[in-house]
Amino acid sequence: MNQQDSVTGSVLVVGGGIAGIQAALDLSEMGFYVYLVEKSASIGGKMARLDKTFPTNDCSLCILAPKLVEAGRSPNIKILTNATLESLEGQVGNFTARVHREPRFINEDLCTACGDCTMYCPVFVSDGYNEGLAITRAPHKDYPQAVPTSFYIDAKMCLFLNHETCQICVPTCQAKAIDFSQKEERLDLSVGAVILSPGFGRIHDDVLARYGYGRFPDVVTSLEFERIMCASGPSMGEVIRPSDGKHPKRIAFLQCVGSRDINTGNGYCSSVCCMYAVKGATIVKEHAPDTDITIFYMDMRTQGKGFDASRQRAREQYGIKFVRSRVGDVFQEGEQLRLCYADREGNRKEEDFDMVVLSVGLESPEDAQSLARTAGIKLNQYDFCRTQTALPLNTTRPGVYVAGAFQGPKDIPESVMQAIGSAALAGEALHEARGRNVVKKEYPEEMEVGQDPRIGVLVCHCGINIGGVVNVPEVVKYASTLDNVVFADGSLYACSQDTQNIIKDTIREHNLNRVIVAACTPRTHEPGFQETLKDAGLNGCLFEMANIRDHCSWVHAHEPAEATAKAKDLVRMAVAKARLLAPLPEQSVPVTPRALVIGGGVAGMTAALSIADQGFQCFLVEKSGELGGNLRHIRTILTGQNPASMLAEMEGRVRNHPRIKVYTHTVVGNVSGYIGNFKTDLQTENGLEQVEHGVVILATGGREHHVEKYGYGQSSQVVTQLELEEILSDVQRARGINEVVMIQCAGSRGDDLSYCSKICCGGAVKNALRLKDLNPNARIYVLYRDVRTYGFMEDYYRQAREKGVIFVNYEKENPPVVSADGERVAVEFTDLLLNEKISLQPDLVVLSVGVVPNDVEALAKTLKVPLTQDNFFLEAHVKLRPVEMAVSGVYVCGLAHSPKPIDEAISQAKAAAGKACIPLAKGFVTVEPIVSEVNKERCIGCGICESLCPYKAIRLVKADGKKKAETIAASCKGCGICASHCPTMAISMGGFTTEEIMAQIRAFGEC
Amino acid sequence: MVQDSFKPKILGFLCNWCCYTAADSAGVGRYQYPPNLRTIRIMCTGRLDPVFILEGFSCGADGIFTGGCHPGECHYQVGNYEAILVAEFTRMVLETVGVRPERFHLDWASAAEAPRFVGLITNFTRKIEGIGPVGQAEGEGGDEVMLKVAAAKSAVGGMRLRTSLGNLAKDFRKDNDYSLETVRRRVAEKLGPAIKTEVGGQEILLRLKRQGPLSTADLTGKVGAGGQRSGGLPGQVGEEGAGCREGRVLVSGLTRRKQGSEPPEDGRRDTDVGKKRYE
Repeated sequence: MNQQDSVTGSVLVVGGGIAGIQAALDLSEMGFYVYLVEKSASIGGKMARLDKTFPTNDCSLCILAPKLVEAGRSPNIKILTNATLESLEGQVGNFTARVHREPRFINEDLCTACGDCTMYCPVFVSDGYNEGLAITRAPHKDYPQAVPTSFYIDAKMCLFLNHETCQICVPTCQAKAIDFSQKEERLDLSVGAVILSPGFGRIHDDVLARYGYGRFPDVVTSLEFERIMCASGPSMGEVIRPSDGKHPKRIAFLQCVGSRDINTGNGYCSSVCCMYAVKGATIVKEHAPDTDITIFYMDMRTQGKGFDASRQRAREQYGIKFVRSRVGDVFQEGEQLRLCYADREGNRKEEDFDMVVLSVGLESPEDAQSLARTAGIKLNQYDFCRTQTALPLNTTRPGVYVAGAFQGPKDIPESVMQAIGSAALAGEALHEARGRNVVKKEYPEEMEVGQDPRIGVLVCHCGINIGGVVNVPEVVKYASTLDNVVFADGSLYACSQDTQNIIKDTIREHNLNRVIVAACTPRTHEPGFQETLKDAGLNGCLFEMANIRDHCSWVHAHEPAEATAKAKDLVRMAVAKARLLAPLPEQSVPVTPRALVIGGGVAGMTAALSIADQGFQCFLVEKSGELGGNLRHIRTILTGQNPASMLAEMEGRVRNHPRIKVYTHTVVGNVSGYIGNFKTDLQTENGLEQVEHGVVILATGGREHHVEKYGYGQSSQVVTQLELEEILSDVQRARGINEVVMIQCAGSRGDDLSYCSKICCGGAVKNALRLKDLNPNARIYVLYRDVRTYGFMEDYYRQAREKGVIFVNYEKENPPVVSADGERVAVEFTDLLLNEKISLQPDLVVLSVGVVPNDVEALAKTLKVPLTQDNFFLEAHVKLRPVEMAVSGVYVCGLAHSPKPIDEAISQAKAAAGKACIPLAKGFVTVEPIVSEVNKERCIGCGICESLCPYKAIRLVKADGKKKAETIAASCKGCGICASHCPTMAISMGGFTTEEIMAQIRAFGEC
Repeated sequence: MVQDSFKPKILGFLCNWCCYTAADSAGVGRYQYPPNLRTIRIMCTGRLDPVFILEGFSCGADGIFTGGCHPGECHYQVGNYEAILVAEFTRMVLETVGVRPERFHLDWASAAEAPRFVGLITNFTRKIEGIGPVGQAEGEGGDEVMLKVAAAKSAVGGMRLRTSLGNLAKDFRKDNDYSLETVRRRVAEKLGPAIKTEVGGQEILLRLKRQGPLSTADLTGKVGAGGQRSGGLPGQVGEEGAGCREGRVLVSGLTRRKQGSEPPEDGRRDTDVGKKRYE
């Protein structure tokens, strides 16, 4: 056996939250077999418990559920629940992982998830999914959409397992799925790489007790509050307080509980709490506008993409109050909770609230130390995984990678990026073994679809999202009266995995040949249901959705009768279309196995290296003469690494990599084609060159924003942080600097730039510390609005304060004034704490000016990809598709996406490379069957379609001496311009035929 | 007042990438808007066929909203520009048959613009409520208007108008000026006369078919489209009803259909609804 053969094409993922699920899904798409080990009984992690996700306030489970279903259905993901990693022997390419698995006591294959066992069990158990705010019984399922879909028995609570009595569940189970003979198992798994994504743990109750948690029932944690807000939660989404079930009129959110607090041992900032508090407060205000909400905070750390806008809405649109203060004490006063705090002038205040929400931080996982021992990796001082700025996803053991909150507190998109990035790292290590261990998904042969439509209609309650407004039983009854509908029923959650089995069974039982699901939007949920149809032997195109949630129950929430009538109309229109649906073949297009990476900074180089290391050729295009981008101007990194050696190492690898071709002084011109088959004009120094490639990564970067205020440009004593960095590299000069005033948000956050640039606070702290090192006597003032040293950066902020750097808060309305006449610059600002005007004449005024994207409008236009208002590239989905663009085959990373520090840019670049390698690894992309089709008999060969097609996807060919139009399916995108302009209406679109649309219109009229 | 109880029926065609997504986002954001809209999802507004709009009105829509991506942001590069052209053409057809053209509206909202979408739908619904049901506001009975709409539907499904529209679209693609005034001017210039002729011709055929023999004088009086404006019967009638002269009674036998003069509907064209409403 040679070396290559011995590399295993399987990967172990430890932790089944959103990061683990995302990593597993991408690895399986890349051609690796995945063992997904989850210590609880179902995957989904914390995200499954959230009500909504910020900043868009998308329903959390709605966007997670399709991924759960996909992971549960993938033949290349083996989900092992109730399982933990016991040992990890071997090395990269060849690990043996021993996994210990506790029994579920319910056979996963037999369980139908009917719930009878739960009903009969006499033992009440606190419902952990609902944070103990509800009860369940020993046999149960964590939540309706849980994957695996089967129930399990809580072994700690079961009477039989503990006292050998009862067993009442056994005869109640019709499927005979309950199996007390199941034993714990130890599995030895051969894997080539390991990804650790165990998530985060819970802040200790002792910390929470300081704020009255545990003593006063109306003091709740943020996760409990998520459940209280959630429609599928214990109060069905009604915001009530636990003590008496009343609606709280006044709610306080206390930030930094268990974060930024060295007394609790957690010196770091948990990064996500400010945004989730803003989210929670906003949602409450949407439901109950008269609720009075105050958020008590130290700094509002809403630094991510679109976060500041969300916070601004919270204040301006919803009237949520923000008080900069740390609450000292909470005590019960009658029915109310009294908060004691100091206002910004230092006066002691007391205020009463009905309910207090503790914005608890993200603790390291409870089992972090044992996991670290088992996996052979090192932790940092807070028991999170130890990583480096340049290698944010590598643990200290080769072949073992990390993703998600275990690497440091972070939100969902960051976790998703890291997950895809860690999958890319595994792909780099194991690329020779790609495809070796995977199982190819086989669908049953497609059934013949008879002439007679037999339509099944499933109407989703979506918990109470639909059912709370639309009268679902009435819609079901109505659907069953429509012609050709032979089956109609309601479903609590149509998207859950058990419902997929029900759909498959129903198709068989009722011999259905068309299926309609009236639920949410086909944009997110249609592919999953189509997969279900294919599993049942039906062509995926025999499916139609009626959007009775996003377009109906949600937007007509106060008009149940009208909403029900609308739902019926939408179902009738869907049925009318479904009668005419035809099975369409799936076509695929080969992929040119090369990538184009635009931009040669850190992000671009990282992406190019990852793609090349995963075994694919890559063109790296840089418009300037040298690689490195902004890293070239960075002298120090907060965590102490040397940026110059980091750059040199990276550039060396890029320049010497046999699969990377570097183009400097090169501009990207016209890009034509589509995923798998792009042709791009490169304007090089030596003239025009055309390259062919399958995917594109946008790493076009950004730069310091140029300000024309605070005396910048008028005095050489006013500099930017990057310029200060240059000055500080001259040690002699730096030692002569005795007084510096740094002004944060110069031009950002509602000034020239609407957004927060995320990196400036860390940058200011870094330069302040550097100056203090060189000249301990230097007086440094940092004028800030909110210090946003999120995550472990907080340690450096604390260090800076300890070393005497003075941080002074200012308000947007009252910014510092810099006058730069003559030799000296002067700064005047108000110290809000002392309520005094302070005037200084420092040696330097340093502006933290923020980041703007490089000019990419022409590139965006030729690629047909959207930009945000601020000219950053707009990703396909803020939460779950953070590196993909809406146009397939195009990915984004680095500053081109949004301002971010180096480690995040590297993680995102790895993620972009990971996503880009999926089509490259597959070697083909599947063409959606929505392409145009020409009816040759009706075609008169006029050529209008050929002239109008924006993709040159239709051409005239001669047949029997007559010209006839013909579609080039691989090029066709399905827009339908040809169809709407055909003089003889000879062209129709797959899934959107003229007949189908006309039938929908007529069905619209039938009421 | 009639307006108070009038609940307009609004049909929507929303493109998958922008407006449909904006509508989804409106839901996610729990924005509220009037419940009159019934949406048909299309991949792109470039798919919008004039026949769909006329069919929509003949099936009882009081207003039709079409929503796409902002100009320049079409997922398919130019689909919404084609929609601008098709919409102007359709607007002119509606005007020709006496349907208030404001009943048909084309507008844009990006995926991120849920509030804009909600505003567009709310305003459109209010406007249609103000206008009232089709027929009432048009000053003619509903049946009269519907007959003309049916004629227009046949005309826009016919080869002659569609070829002219396709050729005009080709010219526009070359010149690449889709400003509203250019579109208005050129559609009026290039397609205006043909619309009148074709719609008028179809109307005569329909009247003869449905109302039995009519004198040319009656026809001239009734046929708004070609007749009133050109001061006589459309030439097409002359071709078909060979030797027709002033005062001569035309018979309903003149319904020989030209090839492609009606949209192909694969045997499903005369639905029960259609029959009930128009025949």
